[in-house]
Amino acid sequence: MKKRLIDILLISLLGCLPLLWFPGQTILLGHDAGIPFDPITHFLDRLTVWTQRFGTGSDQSFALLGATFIHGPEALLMWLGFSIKVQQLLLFVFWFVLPGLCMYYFTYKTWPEKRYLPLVASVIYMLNFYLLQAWFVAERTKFSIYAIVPLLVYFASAYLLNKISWKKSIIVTGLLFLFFNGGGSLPLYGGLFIIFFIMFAYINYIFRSKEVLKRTFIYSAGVIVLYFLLNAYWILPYINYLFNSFTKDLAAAGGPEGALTWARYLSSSSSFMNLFRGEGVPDWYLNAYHPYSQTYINNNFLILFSFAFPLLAFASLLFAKERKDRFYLYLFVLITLVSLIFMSGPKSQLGFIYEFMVQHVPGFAIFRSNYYKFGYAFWFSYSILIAFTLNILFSYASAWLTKRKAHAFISIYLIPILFIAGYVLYHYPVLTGKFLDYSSEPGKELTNRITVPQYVFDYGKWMNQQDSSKRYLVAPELNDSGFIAYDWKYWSSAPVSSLQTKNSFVQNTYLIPQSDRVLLKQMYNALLNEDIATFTDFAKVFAIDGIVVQEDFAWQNPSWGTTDPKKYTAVLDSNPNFKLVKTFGKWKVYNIVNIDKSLRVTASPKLNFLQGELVNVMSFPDFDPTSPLFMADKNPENTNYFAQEAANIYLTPKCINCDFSQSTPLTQVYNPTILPGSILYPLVQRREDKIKSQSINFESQVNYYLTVTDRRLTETNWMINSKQKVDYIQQTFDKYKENIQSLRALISGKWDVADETQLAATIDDRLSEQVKLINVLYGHDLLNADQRLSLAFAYDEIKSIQEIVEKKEWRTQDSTQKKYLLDLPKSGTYNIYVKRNSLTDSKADYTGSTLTFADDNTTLQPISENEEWIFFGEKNLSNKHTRMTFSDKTQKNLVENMLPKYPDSSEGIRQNGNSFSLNAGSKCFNYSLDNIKNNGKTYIVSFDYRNFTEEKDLSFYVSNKEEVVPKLKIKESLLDNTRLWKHHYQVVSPLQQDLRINFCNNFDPLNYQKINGQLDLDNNTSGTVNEVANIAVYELASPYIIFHQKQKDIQNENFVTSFERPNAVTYNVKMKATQQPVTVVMRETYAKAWQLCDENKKCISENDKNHFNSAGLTNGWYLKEGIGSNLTLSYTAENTYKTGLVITITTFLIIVGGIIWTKLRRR
Amino acid sequence: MDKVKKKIILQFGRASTFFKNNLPQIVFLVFLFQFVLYLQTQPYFNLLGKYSIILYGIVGLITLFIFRKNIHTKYFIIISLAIFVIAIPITIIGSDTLNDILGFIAFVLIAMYVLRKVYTERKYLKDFI
Repeated sequence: MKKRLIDILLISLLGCLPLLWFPGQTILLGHDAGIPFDPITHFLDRLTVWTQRFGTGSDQSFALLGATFIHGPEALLMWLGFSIKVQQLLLFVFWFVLPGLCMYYFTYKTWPEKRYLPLVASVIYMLNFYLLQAWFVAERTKFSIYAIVPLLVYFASAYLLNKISWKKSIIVTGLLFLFFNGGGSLPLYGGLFIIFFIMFAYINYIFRSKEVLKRTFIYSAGVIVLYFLLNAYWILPYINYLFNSFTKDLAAAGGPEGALTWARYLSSSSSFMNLFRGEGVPDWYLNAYHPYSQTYINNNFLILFSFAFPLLAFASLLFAKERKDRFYLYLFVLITLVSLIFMSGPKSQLGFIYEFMVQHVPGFAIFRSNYYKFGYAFWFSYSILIAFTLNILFSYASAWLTKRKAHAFISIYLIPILFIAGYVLYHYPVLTGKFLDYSSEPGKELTNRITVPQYVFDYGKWMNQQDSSKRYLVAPELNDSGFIAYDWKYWSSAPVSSLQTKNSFVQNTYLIPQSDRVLLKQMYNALLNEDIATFTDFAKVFAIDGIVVQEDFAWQNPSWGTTDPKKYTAVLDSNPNFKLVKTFGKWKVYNIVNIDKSLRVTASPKLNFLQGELVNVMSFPDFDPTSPLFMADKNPENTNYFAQEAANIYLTPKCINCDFSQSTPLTQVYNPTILPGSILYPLVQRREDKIKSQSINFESQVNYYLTVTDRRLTETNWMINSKQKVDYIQQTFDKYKENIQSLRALISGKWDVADETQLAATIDDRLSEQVKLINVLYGHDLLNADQRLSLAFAYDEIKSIQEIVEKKEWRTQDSTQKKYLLDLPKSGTYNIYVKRNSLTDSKADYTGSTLTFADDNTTLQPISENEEWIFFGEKNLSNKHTRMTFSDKTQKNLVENMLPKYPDSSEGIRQNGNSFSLNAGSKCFNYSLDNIKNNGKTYIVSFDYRNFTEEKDLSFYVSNKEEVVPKLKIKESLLDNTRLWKHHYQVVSPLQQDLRINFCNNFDPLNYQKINGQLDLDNNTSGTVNEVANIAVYELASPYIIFHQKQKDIQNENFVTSFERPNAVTYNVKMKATQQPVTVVMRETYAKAWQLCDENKKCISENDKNHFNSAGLTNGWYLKEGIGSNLTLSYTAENTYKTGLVITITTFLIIVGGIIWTKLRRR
Repeated sequence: MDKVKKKIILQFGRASTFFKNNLPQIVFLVFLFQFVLYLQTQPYFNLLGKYSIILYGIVGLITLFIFRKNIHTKYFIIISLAIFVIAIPITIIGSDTLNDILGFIAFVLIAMYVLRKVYTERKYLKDFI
């Protein structure tokens, strides 16, 4: 090895490339890098299972704990006094060099006689497009696995080939896995599985001996055991996660099908040929503004050069003469080929292998980003294959130089140095760090090379000195993209606060649950609309102590733009409820003044019960947001118990389709491959029978009948259109009729379903689609009289089904008559209130508004008003499913008294009140609306229309007032043709404060009149082409209705006198002892593993119903027998982590002790 | 000129000898190819996805089996290297579909080379230890 110092020097020099990447004060931050602004705080936060860096807190068992040895060195260097930039550069050099050194070790030990192979293989392994793509986010987890692959292969193969002892092989392997474990991210092990599987299979095939087979098992068992022991500190919590959340997370990602869809998208250009050329990186083809990919894709010289990779790699097979060479080369070619199959995923001709594994191998869906997870196995073997050929070529060249009496150094090193220089030049982005500027899209220029303003670091430092139980809301809110972007170029889905401080910050990022994001959006809206009562109620529920406004947020960007942060500062500065406490450059920190004591832990005797949305009770005078709140929707199984125990019951009925977001699902008419009469058709019937036997509840039975009736009609449609199996049409119609009759019989009885309104809507929608198909089929010439008769009978059945369904269906179809539904948990008399500022126009006269109950047809009207809440009287409720209609009289048709405008003159358009007749081509009229609300408000534009032609003629579109819409665009906005009057509506979310509603009468091409020589049929009613009537524009609103019942008259009181939070997983709480029922609320994200123990160590178990999700997000414990003066709240999953940590440390010490002991004994 | 003439005659003679000696096998393969192609139009076979893989896979494997004595394993790798050379202008032109197929053929040839080599050389490969 000593003779190869110059090789090591060359590798180390190459490893210094990261030093060229960051000009000035720039450092790498943003995107998915996960690089912290404060590495020490970030590292320390990873030493507990629970973290409050994300929203109201979360469990970080999943993939975050294993990165200890990645974040540890970062923290260590900072602790030693290096600046963040120097620390980054040192570690980047380390990660750049490490793969090269490991590869050098492996290749040198395998082929010590080959002069150039180790150096060349190391260079290729250190620098390739697979790794370069990972470098743009400095993917240290990937680097850690990537780097040690050669060492793992060496120590495994050396043992299998009987070169080293079992003990040595597994101890080295185990220790490597301790320090370089891929950050505990299992998907990253994909490539490793391939390498080891191929290697074991290959060696066993070659040797075919029991001895080798035994060694394979012993080695595998040893490594697995040692891996588990040395990584127990993150594996045990990870297993806990897998058992509890993997299935849920997989389902959220769309299941195996979702994983396959993602893999198909990602692998769209990962063909074998591209991969052979060392390309095929998904980002190259999916990101049109990739910093360098277009050069490699389009430059002919670079294309030519890229083919050197496969030519050199596979030419090695022609050069391999020695048995050892062939033994290893065959192995590496096999690894290359198998990893290619998985890298290309569903894209390649052998994609069915990957698809099969995703669909049928449990857990394989974690490898959905297939290129990235398997790619390193390819580059490991490919580097060696290429290096093998180059070694031969370089040796020839060296011998040639030696013959010509060149200097010894030149004859040995000139060629490899030239190669390295050329190879680096080929990967030219690595010289400048250009790959870090990962998008050049105009208006969306993105880079990970960032100069962080000093005030951001100052803010982080100050924040880490504050009380860790304080929580802040970060403003402005994020738009639906979820991206966080600042003027100083930071761009990521990870908030800066999560990388900088240990404190709790809430913001509507994608790192918190969807339900929390909805609540936060409502909170932001309340603040912006200066609805301070609602905002402070929300703040109390979330235990928010302050607000951080970041004025440097890139709020004007068209893609991730949001509210101008200055709007927040304007509200906060002008309102006495908020006080500016600190300013850091463009970041301002405000405190909420009326919160004098932290609400993180409270205890109250006043337990509230809520059924419905939390936002509906915010600011309600009788509702105390600091008191515990059982939410029936979150804990349906314990509803009855808590409804009895609660002091107050709040019921907020749900407005069904008030936002008109429910659209009729269109049945996809497809052409079934297997038709009735086919010999394979029994398979279809068998599957349907199986589904039928599995349909044990009412809803699934209804779904079964809807599905089979859809299928029968689709089959008939295809039989008629393709003229296949037409003999079976009658039989199929009979079966259709039979199933429709069964469906009618089923729904004629009692509906045993939780949401019968939803099910009724589903039946209605699906059968309406079937009716459309029947209408088409009925007129087909191919049908005989009997077949038509069967269809006609089925049609009658559908009619009777729809009559039943109409009685069950309850959804808003007219925006002025809003339909509400209430699932009553407890009968009794309730006071009814409506929130005034949730009405369409909170300043308008509401006195004509009514609330009508469908059961007894009683109508309530406003009686009085208290703190913005309108009292509608009281009502005795007993029906489990209570239906009501709210008529909001503050809602006005915004175009009611408005005159239309005719941009092309009114010739050919006749107006009669709110009805229009149009007969002139390309003629339009419109309504312009000014001063409309655009901060999250939606409007519904509706009208009726009919055509007098067989073509689509009426154009309708919504634009902004000043927007210039070319005439040809009319063709894109033509509505469906209809001879009968048809109601049409569109929901609009205006981005500006004006809106224009446009109607046009068809589109006439420029040469139309010249060819026909006809004039428009003005003033001639027989020439009318379209009619439009009842045009209306309404603002949409879902008024908040509350049904309130006071069960117990209890004064609210906080029994918590003080608490301390010694670490992220423990709260020590001092209480005022009481015998009366009390509920403790700890405002961190609800998790079963949070446990309450009293001073006698008596704890409430994980599955006890008295531990509930308070307010839908925090932890509540209902203690019926009262409480003593001390209690402890702790996160029990931490115990698993600690157990794992003890196992890891003990194993490590035993190994190190054993090594030292062995060395000493030998001496 | 005579040398060239002789070479042409020799090469032509080799090819015609090959065809003469293997005519039944070649005819069989042509029929097999046509038959498998025809099958694709038949019910149930038309349900199979990626039929081209099955088609070329079956015919390719049978061809290799029949001519195993005539085709030297080394040719696999030489042909696959030639494919990479042919793919250069095709990539420059930008024909992704053709490139995709060439990549797959190269993949299959390399795989067959290695598998055949491992199979035939198994006994000797372990001797290096």
